[in-house]
Amino acid sequence: MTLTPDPAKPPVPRRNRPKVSVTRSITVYGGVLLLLVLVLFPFYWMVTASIKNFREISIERTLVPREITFKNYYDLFEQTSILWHLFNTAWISCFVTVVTVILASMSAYVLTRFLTPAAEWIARVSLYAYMVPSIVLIIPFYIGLRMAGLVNTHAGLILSYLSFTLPLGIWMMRACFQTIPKTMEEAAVVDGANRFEAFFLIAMPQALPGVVSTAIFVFILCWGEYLYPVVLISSDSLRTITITLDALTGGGQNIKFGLLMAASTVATVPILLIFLFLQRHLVRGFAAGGYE
Amino acid sequence: MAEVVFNSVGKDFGREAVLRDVDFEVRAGAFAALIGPSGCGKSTLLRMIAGLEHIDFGEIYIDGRAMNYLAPKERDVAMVFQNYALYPHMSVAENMLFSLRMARVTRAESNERMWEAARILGLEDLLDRYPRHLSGGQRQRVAMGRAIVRNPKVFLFDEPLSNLDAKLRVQMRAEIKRLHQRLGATMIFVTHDQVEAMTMAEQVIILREGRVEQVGSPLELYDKPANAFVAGFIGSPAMNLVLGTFEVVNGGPCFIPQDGKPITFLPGSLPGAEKTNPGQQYLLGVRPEHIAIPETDPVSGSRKSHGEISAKVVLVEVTGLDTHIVASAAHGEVTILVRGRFNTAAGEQLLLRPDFSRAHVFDAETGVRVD
Repeated sequence: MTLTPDPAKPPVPRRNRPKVSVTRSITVYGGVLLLLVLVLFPFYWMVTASIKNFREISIERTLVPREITFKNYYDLFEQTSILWHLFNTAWISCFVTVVTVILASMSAYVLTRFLTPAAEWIARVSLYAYMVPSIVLIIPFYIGLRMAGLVNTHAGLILSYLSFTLPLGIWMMRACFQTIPKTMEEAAVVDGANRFEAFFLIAMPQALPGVVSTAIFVFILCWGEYLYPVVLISSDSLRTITITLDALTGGGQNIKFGLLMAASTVATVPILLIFLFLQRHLVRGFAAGGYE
Repeated sequence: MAEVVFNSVGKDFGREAVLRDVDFEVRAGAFAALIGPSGCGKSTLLRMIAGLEHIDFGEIYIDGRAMNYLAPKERDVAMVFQNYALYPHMSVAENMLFSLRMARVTRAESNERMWEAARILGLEDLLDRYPRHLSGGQRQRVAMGRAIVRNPKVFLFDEPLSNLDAKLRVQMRAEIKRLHQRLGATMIFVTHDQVEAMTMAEQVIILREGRVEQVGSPLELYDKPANAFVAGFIGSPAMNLVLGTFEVVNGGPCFIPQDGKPITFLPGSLPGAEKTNPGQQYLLGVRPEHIAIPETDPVSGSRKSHGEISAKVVLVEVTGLDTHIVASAAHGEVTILVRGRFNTAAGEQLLLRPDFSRAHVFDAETGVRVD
């Protein structure tokens, strides 16, 4: 007797093949498409408006630009210090991200591995701290920073950013460390590592997807933060990108849409690049951290 | 080679005592198995040797040196974890070299030791692979390799075979045993599987609820269990334990089960029976393999003779090599192990003849052996 299938016999149709209903597919894909349009259309409008002339933006309101012009970008770099403000935003965001990732990883590690009864409480308090709206804290922050002589400085801005990035970072990194089995660090300790070596050489490499997603979240939060810089920063040279965009709205009168859309596009590009570059890690981080 | 001595070792988790007065010695170069039901504290004890748990009471000595306040890395022990705990971001070679890197061993010597361990365990072709690309058995070998390269005084194994399938488990059992013979190092092995403990170890420590019940060689535990718990724990199928009293009826000794008819036996044939007090309750223990089924005369039918009991077959389990029969007697269910094939079916009547010379008597209240 042979076990190979008989070529003369037609293959038996698989009974339990899932039946996909056409209506269901149309509903699902239609929904996804609608969602995509809702999300992507503003981006499309922003990018196309930045390369349209004034007439096309404000009077004709064309969907597809008939004439492509880079005048808006030329004017933007000519008339404003947007590059300098971009640089300010970039370095502050990077600095806050690095500090947050380092401090949050270490705190979250301690909160998951050591102070078990108190840890849950501390972690929760840190989340509550994140939930408090910035607008509630801005005045106390302003007073505190003024007393410390840090109003209108990047140091003050960084401190205020850390007040909301750290709780978020700790919460995310804690979720990440909770998924990493403790036994590997124990194996490392028996293998002769001390606690720091076990943390840096064993736990951290495994927490990398979590680190990447935390870093991206924190970076985006810092990049788009508006309230703290608008209250704390008054000098033009210290401004961040959100304030530049705000200034271009001209307080609601005579909004230069072309310029504003060009500035918005310039402000979006770095974030988009980071996303594209780290997308793979980000998805892995979501899955591993369980904060999907 | 180093001996490991436990001196009144105890451990609390919060208010709960998980280990109490643990006193025993693992001889230098011995293969010892820590065995007991789940939650008996055997893994905790192993972790205390490794330095992963604090020793709350007593002392643990390795090679005459107290371990209580030494960091894990100063104890010179290697541990193989239940889930292997391989570092997922490191290759097999890096996993094995990690401890040597921590000990600042030179690169040349590290590589030499790593290759030697890889040769012993047949890992030469897997050195570049990552743990996620290995099978269960290969991961197990890498975990052992990681321990071997260190050349430690004591090897600790925390249920290392429990994640493997039955066939691989038997294979790895032999491999660990061979490794012990080759290295001659002291090895302490935690398991909840008594077959594993009996086949591998030369010294078995039985724990229950944080206390040591008995320490001895596998055959000592099998032949002379110190108490009813050990008697019931060691051996598969488990020993039959019947509650009852020893009395003298019609001038002859007999055991009267709590719910059942008296079972008579010849004077002096049951060790420990003479030391029993009439009226006091005891547990009579007979291993399933020490109950014979005498052939009955098909014409005259069964006629009970001295010391025999009749029972009705409830269940028959055939392993191929032997037959397990569960039968219902007047005092309750009895398990019988017959070597080879035995033709019977549920509902049939059988005559059982326990071998009283190999039976055990335990005090019903304390569980302690009487002999």
